[in-house]
Amino acid sequence: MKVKRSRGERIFEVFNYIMLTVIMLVCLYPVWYVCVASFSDSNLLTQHMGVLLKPLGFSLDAYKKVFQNPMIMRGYMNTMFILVVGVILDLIMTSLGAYFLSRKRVMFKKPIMMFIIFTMFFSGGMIPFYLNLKDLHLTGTLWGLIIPFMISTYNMIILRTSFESIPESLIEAAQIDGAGHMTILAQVVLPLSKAILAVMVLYYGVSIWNSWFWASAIIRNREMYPLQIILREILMQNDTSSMTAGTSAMDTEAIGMTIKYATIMVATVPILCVYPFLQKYFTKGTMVGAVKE
Amino acid sequence: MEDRKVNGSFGYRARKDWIRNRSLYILVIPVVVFYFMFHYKPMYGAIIAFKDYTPALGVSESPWVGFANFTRFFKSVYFGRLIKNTILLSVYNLIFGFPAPIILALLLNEVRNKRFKSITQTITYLPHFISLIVVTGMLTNFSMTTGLFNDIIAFFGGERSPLLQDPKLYRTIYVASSIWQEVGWGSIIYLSALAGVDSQLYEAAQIDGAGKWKQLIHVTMPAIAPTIIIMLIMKMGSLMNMGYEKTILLYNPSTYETADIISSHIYRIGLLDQDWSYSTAIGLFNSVINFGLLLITNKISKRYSETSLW
Amino acid sequence: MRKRTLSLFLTAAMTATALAGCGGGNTGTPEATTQAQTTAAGGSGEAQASNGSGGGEAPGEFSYPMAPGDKLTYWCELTTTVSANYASLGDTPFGKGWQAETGTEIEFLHPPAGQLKEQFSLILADGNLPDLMEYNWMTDYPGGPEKAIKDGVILPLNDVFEQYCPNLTAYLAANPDIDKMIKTDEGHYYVFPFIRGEKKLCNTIGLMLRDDWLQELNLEVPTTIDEWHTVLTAFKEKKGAAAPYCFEYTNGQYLTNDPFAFAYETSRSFYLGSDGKVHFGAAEENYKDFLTTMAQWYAEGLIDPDLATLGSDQVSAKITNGTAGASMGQAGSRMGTWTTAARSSNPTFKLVAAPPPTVEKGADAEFGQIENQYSGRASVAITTSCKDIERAARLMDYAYGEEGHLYFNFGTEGESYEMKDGYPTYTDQIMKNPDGLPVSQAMSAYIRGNYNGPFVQDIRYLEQYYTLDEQKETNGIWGDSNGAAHVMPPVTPTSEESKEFSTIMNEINTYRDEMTLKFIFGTESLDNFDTYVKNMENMGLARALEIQNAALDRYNAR
Repeated sequence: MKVKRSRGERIFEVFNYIMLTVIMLVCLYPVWYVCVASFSDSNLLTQHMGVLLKPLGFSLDAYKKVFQNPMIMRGYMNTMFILVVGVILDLIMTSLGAYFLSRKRVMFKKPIMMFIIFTMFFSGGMIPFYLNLKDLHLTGTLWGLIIPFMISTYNMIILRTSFESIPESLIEAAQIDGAGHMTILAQVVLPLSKAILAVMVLYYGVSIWNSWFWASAIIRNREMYPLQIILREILMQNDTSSMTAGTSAMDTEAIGMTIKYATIMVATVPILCVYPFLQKYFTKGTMVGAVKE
Repeated sequence: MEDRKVNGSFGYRARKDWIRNRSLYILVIPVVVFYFMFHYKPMYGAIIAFKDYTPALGVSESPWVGFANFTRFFKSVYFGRLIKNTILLSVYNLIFGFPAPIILALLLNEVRNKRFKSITQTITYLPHFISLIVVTGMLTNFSMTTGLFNDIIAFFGGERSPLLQDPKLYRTIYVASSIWQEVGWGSIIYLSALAGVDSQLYEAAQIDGAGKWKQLIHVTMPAIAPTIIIMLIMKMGSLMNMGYEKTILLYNPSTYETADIISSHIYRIGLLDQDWSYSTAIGLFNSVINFGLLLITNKISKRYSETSLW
Repeated sequence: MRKRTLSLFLTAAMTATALAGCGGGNTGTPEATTQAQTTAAGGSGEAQASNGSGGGEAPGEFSYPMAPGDKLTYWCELTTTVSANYASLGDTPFGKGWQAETGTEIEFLHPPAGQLKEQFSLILADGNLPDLMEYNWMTDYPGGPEKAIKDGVILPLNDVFEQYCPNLTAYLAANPDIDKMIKTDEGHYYVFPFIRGEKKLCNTIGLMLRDDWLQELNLEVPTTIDEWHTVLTAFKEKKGAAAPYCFEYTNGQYLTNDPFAFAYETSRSFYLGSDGKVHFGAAEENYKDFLTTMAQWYAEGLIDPDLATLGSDQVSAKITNGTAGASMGQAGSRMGTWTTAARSSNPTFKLVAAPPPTVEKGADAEFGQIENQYSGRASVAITTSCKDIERAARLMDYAYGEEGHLYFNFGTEGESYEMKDGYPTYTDQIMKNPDGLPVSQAMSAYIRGNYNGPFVQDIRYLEQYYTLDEQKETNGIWGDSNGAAHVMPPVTPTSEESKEFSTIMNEINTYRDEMTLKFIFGTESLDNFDTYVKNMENMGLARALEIQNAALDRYNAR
């Protein structure tokens, strides 16, 4: 339906578009900067200061160097393993918890909810967490980066809220047909929640992709490094070379700025590519209504 | 099935509940085990905060020192400043960072052009995917006298100055960059809440002659209020959870005055000096404050808006 | 999200703090090379059992390689010139050869770059240690080496040296000054040390500036504070340098060795005074004079305005593009790198080393940058988790014998070096790598001599490594001071005092770093210098000095 818009509304609309365009540019520019810099000639780039709009010269050398690094491919493989296995396990565990919490008339739901939420705000700290991993023999293995992080409470609450919005009648109908909770979850609830599950995939995926601290803490075999650690090493290479002072000398080219930018691209683009596939689900509005019981 | 009040003793109710929901409880066992193993067990490990933890002796055999680690922290010359900096930074982050995604979501919600909307959304999400090292690296570069920010300041006739060396500007830079990184991503949740608002409500409001502003106040805001409140409570509960990650990448001695916060202090003095017990103690202190804040916010929210986390 | 759930402790930091432990190890070479060991230089040095000589209680005549046995785990930082091409030290020709020569299977473990201290901390926290750990046990283990022994982390090595380490024992017997450095006050050996062979090579950092600009402006290389002022002003006014003096302020190694602070006969940290006592420079009147000059220069725009945030990226950029004309750093990783980079666009670019500046013209520089031959870094301890101590000890001792010395510094004969007139000369595999690897990376594949590790470093590596004349001059120019008399010897506090000491110094150092910058930037008036000193005293400076002086006395008594 077409409603005639007032002058004020039209002014607002113009303002709105301008405002959003500015926000967009602000968000885009740094990313653009990295992209452009990665294709630039490294000598020109070092001597350049200030705004950069297009590549300075054009060179793919940085990318060649990045892919020559034996660690990058291995890092990809490790990250892919953690990502695929991790996201699957994350989804299963989170769904189980969310489903339980979304059921009505369950006597011990509230205590369990408290049991879970408490952990969002109270934690034992890093050292105890690490010692615990050690006890459970989860150090030195990629599983140590998967299992302890299977459930994000925040995500589980979002998922629960979404499950709650599924009409109760559907579930009751299934119950009358004699379906157990497992069946209901797998055959009724999950299929109706594709959109929110897509969101979960993205949430878990991004956090796995970008996480690095625990990997750096528990993995001591370089063959098992995920990509982010390698990214970090390359980004910090200048710092470290200064630490090992005077050791690595005249290798101007080896550690150019462009390599850093290229590495950032290499480590960021894949996860960016996932997004458009999932984006359509975002607009469907299946997410949190309220987290209230 | 009417949800009638179940009578009878606790045992009786528990038994009935078990009979009805047994399979449901079995379903949740892995989840409970997970929380136990990876959240509660480490909490037990946090008793090293009250000990002088020595690895050779292990957690249980290390000698007790009572509150020594805590008093050491309270007596530290930096205690007051750390608390102040942590709270101020968090509060600014909350005051400016919290409404930003809501406003963005509201603005986006007004966009009619679907294509423009989806492009804007996609682009504002971008910064979320960029890792923190990269973000802080760019910030440092841009803040230099020759950097982009100063180029802009100079363009408008201002004077160039090293921005990250000014303690007064530190919080602004910190908070603004956090908003930049998370505003788009954070708006997702509000956008979906907005999408859930019944369009008939708007039509009814328009028929009543309500303008955009009135629609916002009377239709939109009430509809997304519960989401906002829940998000706010969760934010409050993590008010003191300012990660050290960004701080240690962004600060330098000339900005310690405003930049140094509890977690960076834990990191610098606790972890790097292998003072495990001390760092755990400071962390525990922080957790307790957090939890207190959470309880208070939740209570207030419950009283005034009926929305609460539990 | 995940982060939030786990709360801040788990989140974690990326730490550009870059605690990558090892600081500068440019070089060095065993004096012993010239002394005890040069016998081997004559050639061969290959598989002879030269090591058996130093008679331990080893059963029978010991010779490498050892019979196969248990695998040893070895934890160390992987330097960037290795990690650029290899995933582990064990994958390098050096690592493979070392295992083959000694007959020991080694599993190498490495922390991610820049995470050395964090991972060390976590490894220690769980108590399950690798057999051998390469680290700076002297300065970076809280409480020092004696505490590490007492905590049950590492083994005292006196018996081990005596029984299984004839090479090291012989070396230490020939070099009593080094023997003194690598012991604790209680007389315990605790590591297989990284030793710079010659004093000359303990000097790695110094001032440098644009020689081509000096020529153009008709100026001499500055030697005093006033001359520096003139030169920097000329750079600013005549050459348009926006940041005439610019150095990597975020690198603690440079701060501690600030030549301008040395000019005022002070330093920001502990030093040995002419009275034979330990002093804390940053709390003394001389430091105020230093700050006054720096504040003046800063106000005049002679120092980079972005000083506090300068990392190596920015400094490199500014030096090479002419925004800055003077800096400080090493001859290899700084002077060499910058010159090569800048010459691609500016062929006349030339840096020259400047001597340690003084206040008075013609005075002899009293202070200057110099390191002890044993600085503590990259030295290997045997942990209490090690089962086969003999094997571990023999593995480490290899490097201190003739054969091992050549192997660690030059690699494999015929592959990475050739003996030419008794001088180990790197082959083209190193100097002009067929795969196009830079020299430092090619070296790192075959040797450890170009960075650090548990061995005695040989000067002959450096002689071939520096290619520019101005680099070769640096040792002589920068080393021209009485600095060696003021550098703190490797003292160690007792394990009881160490915690108190580090608690005090953590607070004082944080405060000093903060105030130093404020004084320089002028945000804090130097009139408040007395208050600043008083505050440090309230934090327990006197006690810290007392502990240091007591440690010094014990050291001198060794």
